[in-house]
Amino acid sequence: MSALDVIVSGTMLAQTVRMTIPYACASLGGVLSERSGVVNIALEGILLASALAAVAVQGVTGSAVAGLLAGVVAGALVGLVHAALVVRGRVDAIVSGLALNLALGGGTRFVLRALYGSSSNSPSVRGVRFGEGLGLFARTALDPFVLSTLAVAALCAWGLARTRFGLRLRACGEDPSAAQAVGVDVARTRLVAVTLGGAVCGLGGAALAFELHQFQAGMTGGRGFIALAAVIVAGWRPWPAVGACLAFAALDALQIVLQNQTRVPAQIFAVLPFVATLLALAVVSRRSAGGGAPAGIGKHPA
Amino acid sequence: MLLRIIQNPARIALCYAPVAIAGAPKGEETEVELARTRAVSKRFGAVEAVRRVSCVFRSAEIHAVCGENGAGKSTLLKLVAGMTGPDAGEIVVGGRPLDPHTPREAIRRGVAMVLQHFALVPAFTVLENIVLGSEPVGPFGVLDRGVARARAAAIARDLGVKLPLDARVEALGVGDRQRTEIARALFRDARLVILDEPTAVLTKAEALALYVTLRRLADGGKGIVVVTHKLDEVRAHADVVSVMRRGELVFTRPLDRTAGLDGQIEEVTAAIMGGAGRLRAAGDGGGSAADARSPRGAGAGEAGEAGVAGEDGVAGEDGAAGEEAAGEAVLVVTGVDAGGVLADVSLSLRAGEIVGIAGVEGNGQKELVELLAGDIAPARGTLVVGRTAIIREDRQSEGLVLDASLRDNLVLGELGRFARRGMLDLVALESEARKRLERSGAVRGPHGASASGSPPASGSPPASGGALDLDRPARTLSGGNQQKIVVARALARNADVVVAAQPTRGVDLAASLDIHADLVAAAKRGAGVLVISADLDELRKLASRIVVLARGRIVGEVPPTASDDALGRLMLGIAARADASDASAADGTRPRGAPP
Amino acid sequence: MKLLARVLQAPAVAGLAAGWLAFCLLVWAYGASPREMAALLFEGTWGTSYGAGQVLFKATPLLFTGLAVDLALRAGLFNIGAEGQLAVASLAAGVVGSRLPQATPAIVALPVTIGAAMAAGAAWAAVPALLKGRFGAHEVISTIMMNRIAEGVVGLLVASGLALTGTVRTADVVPGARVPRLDALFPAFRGSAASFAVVLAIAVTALVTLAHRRTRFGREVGLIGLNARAMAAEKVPVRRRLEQALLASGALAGAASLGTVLGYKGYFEEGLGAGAGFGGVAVALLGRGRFGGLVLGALLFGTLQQGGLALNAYVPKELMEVLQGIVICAVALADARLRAAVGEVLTRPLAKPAAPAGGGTP
Repeated sequence: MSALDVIVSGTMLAQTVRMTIPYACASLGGVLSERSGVVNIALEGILLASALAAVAVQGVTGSAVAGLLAGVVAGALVGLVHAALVVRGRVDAIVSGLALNLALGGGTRFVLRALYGSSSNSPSVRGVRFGEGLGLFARTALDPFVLSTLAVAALCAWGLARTRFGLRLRACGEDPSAAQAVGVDVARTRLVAVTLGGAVCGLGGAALAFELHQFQAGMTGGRGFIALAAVIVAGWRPWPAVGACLAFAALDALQIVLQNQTRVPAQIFAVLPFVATLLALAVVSRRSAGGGAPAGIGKHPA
Repeated sequence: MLLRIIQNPARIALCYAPVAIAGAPKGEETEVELARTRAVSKRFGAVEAVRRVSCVFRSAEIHAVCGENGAGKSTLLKLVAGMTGPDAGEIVVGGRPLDPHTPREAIRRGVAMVLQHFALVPAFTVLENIVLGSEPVGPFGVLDRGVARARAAAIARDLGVKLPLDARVEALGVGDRQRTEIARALFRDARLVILDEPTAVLTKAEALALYVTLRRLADGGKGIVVVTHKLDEVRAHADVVSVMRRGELVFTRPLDRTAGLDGQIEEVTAAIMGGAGRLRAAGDGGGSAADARSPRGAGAGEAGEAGVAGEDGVAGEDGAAGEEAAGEAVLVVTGVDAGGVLADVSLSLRAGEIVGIAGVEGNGQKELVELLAGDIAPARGTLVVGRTAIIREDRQSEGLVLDASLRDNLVLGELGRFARRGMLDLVALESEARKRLERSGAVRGPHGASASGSPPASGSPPASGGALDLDRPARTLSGGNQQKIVVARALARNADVVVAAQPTRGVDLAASLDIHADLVAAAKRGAGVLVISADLDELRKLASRIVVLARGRIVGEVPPTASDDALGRLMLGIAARADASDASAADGTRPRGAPP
Repeated sequence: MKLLARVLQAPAVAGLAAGWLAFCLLVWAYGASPREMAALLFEGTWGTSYGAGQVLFKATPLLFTGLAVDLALRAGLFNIGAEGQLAVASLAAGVVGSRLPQATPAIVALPVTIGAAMAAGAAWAAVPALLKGRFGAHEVISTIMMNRIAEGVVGLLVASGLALTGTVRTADVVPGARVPRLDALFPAFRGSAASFAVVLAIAVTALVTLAHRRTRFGREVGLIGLNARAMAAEKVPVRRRLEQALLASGALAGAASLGTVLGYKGYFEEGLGAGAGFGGVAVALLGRGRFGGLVLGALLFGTLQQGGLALNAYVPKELMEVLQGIVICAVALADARLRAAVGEVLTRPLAKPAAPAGGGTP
């Protein structure tokens, strides 16, 4: 089979959709966090932490649901820490995010060694078994992770536009001083938003780990950062962010196929998603100065 | 207990006939205490912004709170609105002490504050801004847009204003923004509406319309508090006036409109200035809007001392400078389109001349400054300009690096002058900065040491040494002194053209006078000075002619003696050719370049 | 108690206290004895002259990258890309240093080699600089992407002929390009990998921190970092300065290869110096633009890295990364509190949101 056949195959499409999930969840988490005005580069660390939590808990309980919940809770917790540092502690959000990424990168490996005595990967877990016997299309379209990601995206978009919390969240992101002056509790709103964002991102981490049926040290491979780029490219809007993630995931899937199918050195393809992200970022940043960024991002109420 | 002055709403109608007033004069009405402070104090670091102030705010009246910048009036009302907490004393709102001290709680008790810079979210629509913080919701916190829209529309109707509910606030002018703020206060059933410097950015006509709205609200039983330093507004509209000075409440008293207002306003002025020392200058500067229509320059002969002279003297001097000593042209703008806003702008400026640019904000002033600063290039037409120094409108974000030292700020952008092969000559830099600091006048004056605790008496000699050292961050200066730094830097460059955008906005009276004197001195030295200001009195005082900008075009040029009406019509772009020539017949207005 | 709280507010103290607390907790949770591990940690680092030498060795690249990140930070830019810049620079040092004629004297070989490395670091930083300057793309994301790309590109170049066949390393650099080990002069450091690069690092740090104050470029960059709009209004070429700052930052990051390629291995191999770039971010955040801060920060994180290795047989060395993260958080937290406290005194009466009218009423 030639590379082209693989690329246009249904398998490839299904693969792309499934690979989108961690990206999409992380970027939705990023949208929630950043629309409230808190930059979140901790997405990478959240993905790692939640992936490990999901694997560890499923390993112990044998329950995929428990594992999934553990992933979500771990994500929410990291989000909460990030929010507390930034909102209450007034630590620069980029500094906090960097520190969390550092701590969680080392921390997950530390726990890996503590729990499994390995510095590279965990024993394998079942993950979520779903759709045996169904066709490829149905299996992909009805995949619980795919469905829940879509549901979360819909909820984000609708909630931001149509609910009181969404309105206040956006107000905090656009102009925290103004929001505070009319009685919105900016700190609390941001704490909730970033924590929620962490939970959504945690869903992605769990999905990633279950997809590979194990935790591997550094398994996120920059997905959190690419997801963040997707947020920017999408102008901080939920559905476009999912769309951008789909594009990045397609590149990712393509990269894997090309690595296997051609004789070109693997490194060339490995950098593809990152180069593409860079280009997309450049194009979008140029097209619209600020690109729909919430105006109050990184600002504290007066 | 204060006396209640019986109000006659028709008063306004009499003064400003074109405006229709709804609502009839009231008969019986019970005015209620809405909020009061009891010996409330608030300190920021070493400075006691508010010191043991006890003050009452009632329903159905317009209560003006006056004082210089830094007198503590904004802080006092922010305390009442829960935007900051007191260090001592008590704030009673709705009969009970305010607790906790949050805007949310104050709003719950019916107190809303409209901040000077507005607390609107620019990217939100008017409707979203109105409901934010007290949103009508259905189940699951879902916004009830129908209810929101209906109530907002009803409020707009009650206010007698049109509100573009679905427009984004960032696309609106200041007037609409302010109406949005007021609508928001009413949306949450505020009974006490506090406005901080509401007319600072409004034209006279807009300010008038605002007071009509406010009077309507007061007649409807709302308590209105207006923080202002414009005494003409106090004179025309206030029922009660409180004066603050250096954090203390000097007095609160009703204005008796049956007696002579001049004497009462003079007392207010004296209270604001805290002594007789500058009374005369202050009286002219703050409270003389009523005199504004009389020809200026009468006092030219008597007050000729350079620098700190009374403003009449200043006006007289540069009137002379404009007409007699007009030198060669230092700025010639011919048929310039720029920035997508300026259209067919022609303007010239001679050495030694001060020209004013009037206009409603957002009509091309920003672009004009950018054009002269070289930020944008003309899309059409020609621009011939000598060396230019710009005093930017937004000093805190464009004029200064607030967290850098005064030294760095005084030579900002001129480091090249002090560098040899990239290395700085720190000694030369230091001495130049010191020279400029001394010349800036930020060292002397009542505000020089305001952050260090003990303000020296007004007019005391320069505090030696530590009072204002060059290492101090610009952030620690008062607004007036910050602006003096900016002005000193611009004028030290000995430019041919000095462009001063809103040079005294938000600056207290004493500093304003100094800055005006500096600009006049620059013109005397031979620079052409262009003053762009929303403050017509400022333009009248400084400029020898006033050019009016509307919708990016120059729609007329008037002498400083032109009436408010004539200027106002030009500024609003109402001046069609016929109108303008009418006006010129009446006021000596010369229409020019009116849109075809 | 009050005094204790006061002292804990000092960023350095807060960082050390939090780090120590986390160390004890994590070691204890792992099932080891914090006291024994602490003793072991000390012994493996400052306890012996060998250990101290190893700390200096670890601290050397950290100081360079810390200085690099700090320079960008002054301009208000987060250069998270020191990692990639150093990787590319190290490869350049290895390649250029090994292709010089064998007998090239040090006075030529060392400057040429390190010049090539710094140029490569700057070139790698040029991409985000350009994207920032011309397109307005946020440098945090673009430098992170460039790190990943560097990984791939270095791997590719190594695999496609720059390395000795069958290996992932270049040939040895010529003797003249090598930085001598410290033990050549101080026998006490025998066996440790510390080289005179540490002396160079300290000297460069002193020079650069001085230049921030004494040169036009340094001052303008610092002022731009505080308020770029005001500088642009004063016709300072803000965009160019930002680009230059990122380039200079990349070059300084590249200079870290003095401590790894030229002072330690004598050749480049894939992965050499990995982590020093990220460590530099930590050092810069701790150092906050002060000479002493940067040096102490580099020493602290050098100690943690070396200490991690000393403990690795008992407690996973990743523990130290966690500690790094926690120390950064604690320091940043204390720093923010401190600034808030100072800000309260100095600025509150005048602070106003920068709004169009820019008024100044308290």
